[in-house]
Amino acid sequence: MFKDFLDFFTLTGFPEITWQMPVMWVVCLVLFYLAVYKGFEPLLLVPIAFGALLANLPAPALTTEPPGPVLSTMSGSVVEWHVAPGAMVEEGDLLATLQSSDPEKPELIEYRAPSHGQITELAVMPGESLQVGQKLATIFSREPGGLFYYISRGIEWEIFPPLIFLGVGALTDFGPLLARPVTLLLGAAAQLGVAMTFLAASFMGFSSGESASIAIIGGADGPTAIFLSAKLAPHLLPAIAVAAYSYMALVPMIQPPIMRALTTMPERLIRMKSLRKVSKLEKLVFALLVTVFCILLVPAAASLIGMLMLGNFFRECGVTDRLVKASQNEIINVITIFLGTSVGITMTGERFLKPETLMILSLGVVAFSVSTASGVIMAKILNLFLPEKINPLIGSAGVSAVPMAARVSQVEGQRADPTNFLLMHAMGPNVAGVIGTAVIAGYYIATLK
Amino acid sequence: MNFLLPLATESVAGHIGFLTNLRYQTVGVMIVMTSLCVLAVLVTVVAKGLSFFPTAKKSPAPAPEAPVAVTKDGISPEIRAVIAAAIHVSLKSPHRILHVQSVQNPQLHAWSVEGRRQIFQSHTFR
Repeated sequence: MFKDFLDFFTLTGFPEITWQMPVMWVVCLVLFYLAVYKGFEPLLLVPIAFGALLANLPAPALTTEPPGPVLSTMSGSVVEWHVAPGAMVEEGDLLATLQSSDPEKPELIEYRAPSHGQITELAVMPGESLQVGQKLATIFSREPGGLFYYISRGIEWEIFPPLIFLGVGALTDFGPLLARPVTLLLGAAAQLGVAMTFLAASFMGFSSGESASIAIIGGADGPTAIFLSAKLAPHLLPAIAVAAYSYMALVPMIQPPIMRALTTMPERLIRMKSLRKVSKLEKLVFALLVTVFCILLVPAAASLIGMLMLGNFFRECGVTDRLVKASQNEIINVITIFLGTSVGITMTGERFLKPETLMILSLGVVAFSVSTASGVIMAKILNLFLPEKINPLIGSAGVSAVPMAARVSQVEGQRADPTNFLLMHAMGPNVAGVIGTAVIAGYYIATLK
Repeated sequence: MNFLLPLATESVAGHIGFLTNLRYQTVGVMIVMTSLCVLAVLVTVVAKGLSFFPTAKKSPAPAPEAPVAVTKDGISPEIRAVIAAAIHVSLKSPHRILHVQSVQNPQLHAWSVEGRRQIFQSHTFR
């Protein structure tokens, strides 16, 4: 009976616990604490932390690939097969030894089974060359893939971030931006933080794709950060997503000291003229204008910009009430759950507990800080030329953490003058930052992919 | 954009020179600045253009207010209806309103009104 008990124990998940798992449980607890008790971006951090908890439990069935054709992820040749047709394999079993054709890394690579099942075909014989994407073998099984294998396709196939942007567009009022178009420049200036962080990351040894993915944290735009890193550095996605959303929640702590250090009291006291009323037609024309212009400029970001402006067109046209409500509520909420858990499920201990993660977290702070400073400095530069001065405190809202960054401008403005209301003025650069971040992300994708 | 070639063909082992990166980032920031500048100009031009074509429909003239019938005692039928509804909500038992009278001078009769209210409150309505 005791032996039966021991036999059953070997079937449980307990023997599969690795040292990284308890460490990651602590990380998850920290994320839960920040989200639940500190209110740090709870809508994203709770699903991310829960997904991370699932990723760090011995439950490989959650993410197993469905059986089918095994495609090569590299170019080279097959040196040796370790299985024969008809053999049963488990996920992670050694399938073949491959030789890379990369002249700089001509190493032997052990190719492991992506799913469980029976080998029905070996498509490339030893000694034959193969290309990326070429079929290596076929695995057959009646069992499907894991739940999160399918949900995670939303990130891999770039579906979730654009759908989030649809909701963001339906929630965003571009009126303040249209009433004072010069604030577009504040949103553009904040992207300087992205560029500076790219340089810093590259200097620290990250590749160009990795540097771009890390740098985009400075744009303070979670969906864009996920979109870009899924394309250019998917292995860094968990750390980048966690950094982006955590720092967005920390905007009220990161920004104010920088804003106060870069502005004088008379500047903080500047009162801005009330914004003019923007007509419905202007808003509709703007949505179409941004769609056409930005997609022509950076076709690589077409899905982000297109969906953002589609959501905004729904909102402004006034005849698609049901679609606006669906975009603002059901769609964005459902996708947020899937996006968060899909990001979390990638946070396995092996991927997350690396020195790189700490480097990414520190570079994220640099990105946010420089973006904030650039926006404020740009506002001060504009004041040298503009007849109607703008309060430089709204420059910090150029990072696109909507509407948190605009709220910080409001709070800092009221700290200097309790009767000064900057919120609506700050919404201009705030939403401009969304467009600016999408444009620079498109630039990186177009040039680095 | 020949300077992008080293970035596009960069291998994992390769490390791009700082100056190449700096140039790459400068171009990126310039593209963002220029594109948002162009957008700002376009938005301004569109706003100016649209201001020449007033699109707002003339709001229809407000409908004349319906004449309010006022009876001899100064209580309109609407007010009577409101009073009847309030009584209906307050008194659950069957009732009949016999008479509605406005207080002629509330300042003067405030105490007597309050007295009447208390007396009525102590009654059981039939």
